Amino acid sequence: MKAIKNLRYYLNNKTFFTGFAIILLIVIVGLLAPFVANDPYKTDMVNRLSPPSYEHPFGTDQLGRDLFSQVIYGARVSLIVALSISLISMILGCLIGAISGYVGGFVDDIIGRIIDTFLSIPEIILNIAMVGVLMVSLNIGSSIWIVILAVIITNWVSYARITRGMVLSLKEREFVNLSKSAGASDYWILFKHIIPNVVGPIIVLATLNVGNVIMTISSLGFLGLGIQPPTPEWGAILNSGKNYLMIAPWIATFPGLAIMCAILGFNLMGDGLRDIFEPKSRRSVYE
Amino acid sequence: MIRGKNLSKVFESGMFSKRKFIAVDNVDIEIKEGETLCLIGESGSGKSTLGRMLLNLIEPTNGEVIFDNYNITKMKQTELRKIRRYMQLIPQYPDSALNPRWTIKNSILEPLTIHKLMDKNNRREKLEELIETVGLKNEHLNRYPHELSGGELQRAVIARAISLKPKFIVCDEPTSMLDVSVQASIINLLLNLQKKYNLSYLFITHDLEIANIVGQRFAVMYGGQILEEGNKIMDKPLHPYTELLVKSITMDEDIENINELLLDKTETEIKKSNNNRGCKYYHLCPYHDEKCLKGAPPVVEVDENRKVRCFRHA
Amino acid sequence: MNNLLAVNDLHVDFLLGDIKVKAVNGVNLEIKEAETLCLIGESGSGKSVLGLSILKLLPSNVDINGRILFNNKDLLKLPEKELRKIRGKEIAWVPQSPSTSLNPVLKVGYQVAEPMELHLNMDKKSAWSKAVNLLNFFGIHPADKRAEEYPHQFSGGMRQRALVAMGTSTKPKLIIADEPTKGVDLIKKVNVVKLFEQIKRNNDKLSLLLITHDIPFAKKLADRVGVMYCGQVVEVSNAETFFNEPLHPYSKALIRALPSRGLKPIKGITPSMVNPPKGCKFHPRCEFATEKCRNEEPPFIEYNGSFVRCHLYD
Repeated sequence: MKAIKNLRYYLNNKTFFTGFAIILLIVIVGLLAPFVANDPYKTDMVNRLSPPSYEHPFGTDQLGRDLFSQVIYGARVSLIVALSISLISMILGCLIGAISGYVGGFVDDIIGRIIDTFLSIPEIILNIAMVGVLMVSLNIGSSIWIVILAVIITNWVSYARITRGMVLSLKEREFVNLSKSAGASDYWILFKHIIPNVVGPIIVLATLNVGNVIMTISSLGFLGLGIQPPTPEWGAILNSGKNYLMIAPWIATFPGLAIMCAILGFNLMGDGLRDIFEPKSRRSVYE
Repeated sequence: MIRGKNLSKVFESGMFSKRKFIAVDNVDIEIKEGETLCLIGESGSGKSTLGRMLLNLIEPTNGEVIFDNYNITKMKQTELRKIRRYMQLIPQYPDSALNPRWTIKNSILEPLTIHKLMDKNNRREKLEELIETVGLKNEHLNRYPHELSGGELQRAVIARAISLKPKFIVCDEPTSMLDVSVQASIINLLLNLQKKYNLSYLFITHDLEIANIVGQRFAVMYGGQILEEGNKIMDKPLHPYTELLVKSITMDEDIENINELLLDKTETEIKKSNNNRGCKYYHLCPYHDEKCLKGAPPVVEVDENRKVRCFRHA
Repeated sequence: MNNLLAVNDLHVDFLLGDIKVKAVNGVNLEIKEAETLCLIGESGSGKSVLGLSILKLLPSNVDINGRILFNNKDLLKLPEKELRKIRGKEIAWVPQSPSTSLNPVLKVGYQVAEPMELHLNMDKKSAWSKAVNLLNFFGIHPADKRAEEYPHQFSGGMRQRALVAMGTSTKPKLIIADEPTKGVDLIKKVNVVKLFEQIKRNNDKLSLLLITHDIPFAKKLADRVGVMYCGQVVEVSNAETFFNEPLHPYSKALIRALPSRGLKPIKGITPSMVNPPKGCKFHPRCEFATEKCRNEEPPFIEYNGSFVRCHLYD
């Protein structure tokens, strides 16, 4: 694992660095929101639907709220929600996938079928359905917590599938056999041998997945589920902007650009990480 | 010292229409203390499976393995783990034998760590002793498997294997993936270690010339069964298959007719013929007749230390 | 006897980022008409790269320098269009073991017929029937049915013969075979020997370049032997000289490392292709090394009918 901790790899990899820089920028901007932006909730009916200007760099929305502030504060919401969903579903998914793959047998059959079922339904429909189910069963209206819970429930599956697949193949590798013959217990093998080999690809998957999650919560927001105005969230702003595309296209454009930048940043990071974790497989091929 | 009795392994595939493949068919095998038994066979003969069954890395479908009076097939996992230190494996592919994310140092020390046989103080000492014995250098220790050559990796694997002072090692074609020059040094290393620590080896190979040098006793395997066993089977082969193997060393073309038959049997066809009654070697045997199909050929004890599974010698 | 192919001062460098790997480091080699030249070397010697560069089948991140003369044309300078006329028609390539070398979704007959359709301008029907004939010739029976099958229905040996059929279909002048015995069991190796002898009998003007590290196999087929070490050819001798009294110290050591000749290991480690030793590439491991060897690279000179790259013969 030492090689992965070598900072040089991260700094030298242009793809990773670019992605990381973008995300860092978004994070910093989000953190500095109170200093950089104005109150995103303040309405100003006189100046509603006004185009970008010095006072309102991104223009105002249909209630006169400053779009620039909305987008900046929205960064916080979108990022925090996306990251927490990713993290929790990653831990949940990997654990279930690893146990399923390692234990095998009946347990694996059942979990495998569950995973397959979830994956057979198109993602957006699954998410909408999950939000609906939660809203009904918990008897709450649309809220940020419903969104988080719903997406976690639909998102863990992709981690589980990948982890399970990797564990299944790692289980058969010769070094696992050698460990067994040296007297290693199942816990030892699972945590010292299998999991470390799974971590690399999972981290790559996770960074790419964050982009996906951002897209998902934005889509849900766009559809009017989940986070609603006035809470600034990029998808929700996009949603409210869709009615004004002809007269005030900036309302939808800027949050859209923000979403795009965030996803781009995470994807670049993921691509870069993939390269960083793989040079190990660059062997002496000079025959 | 280690004995396998009635060992069988049947692999099943398919969820509903279970297809069976008999990898090891009712094998008895014994290795005494300090001796090397060479298990000779071609790919698909079941020799690797048998070796791993003796270490309980593959669970036998039938039969038992007795190691120094312990019946390891029937033991509980927790007990078994304590005994495992005395039985080790050196596998065929050195590059997948070690965890690619572990340093060589950690891989070599793993067995000692698992069994808690060392502490911070004597760690350095034990490590140096081990790498000196196998011929590795300090610079190799902090590297990763993909930075080492095949021969160096195999040495690391051997260091691991001997770190627990085992009594029995299954060497599963340890040199078939290595170059000729490296092969020589690894084999010499294994022979030296045997002398030094009084080890028993089950040396699995398909290379008869190496077998000759390494082994004292030989067993020839085909289709999951041991067809012939003894000390001098290479000088005076009794079973037709052994005969064929010995002739193949010189790559002599007079093995003409038999090879035409061997030539075109695909894996599936061999597996099909696997499940019939009678002698498994029937189709390929130049001396076969009807009595060979009557049932499983008997194991004939020709003389001291020599057994053949053939109707001709009954 | 004329030279069919002459390699002059060939250098092949692989460019991996900022690292340059000198896979072939100044090779001079001649293949005469109607001769079988076995190119022997261990892994990392550059022999496969040499074979691939004759047909310019290398990946794009290489730097090739030198000349490869075939029929008075420099293959390295030919435009792709011209080269394609030679590849597959006059120089055929029989790749290493066959599971990935045949297209799994095309019928075997089609694949064997392909070179004939492309190079001999045969129509589909005649090419197909010729392909069937070839399969029959190489012992794949019943050929007409087998030609309709797919590679996965063939055994390993059959696939190899199909590849050979494909290679010989256009009656090439030179066949380059890459490690034909890799992964092949002992008994089946005899078949590989027979296969190549059959090819030679069928076409007595044919030259064979057999790239292998299997020395006993080379002994059976070679007219002349070339030895590669660290990207250079260090000896070219006729077969008898090489197997009985080789000239170069590496050749000597290699022969002595064989199980049948004593299993004597070669001291030292395989040299790096990125940073090869100065002077003679073998000097760190050579028992005859002198100061001159450490500093000066030995020239490739003629000695008693052989060629050697060693100061001992200077």
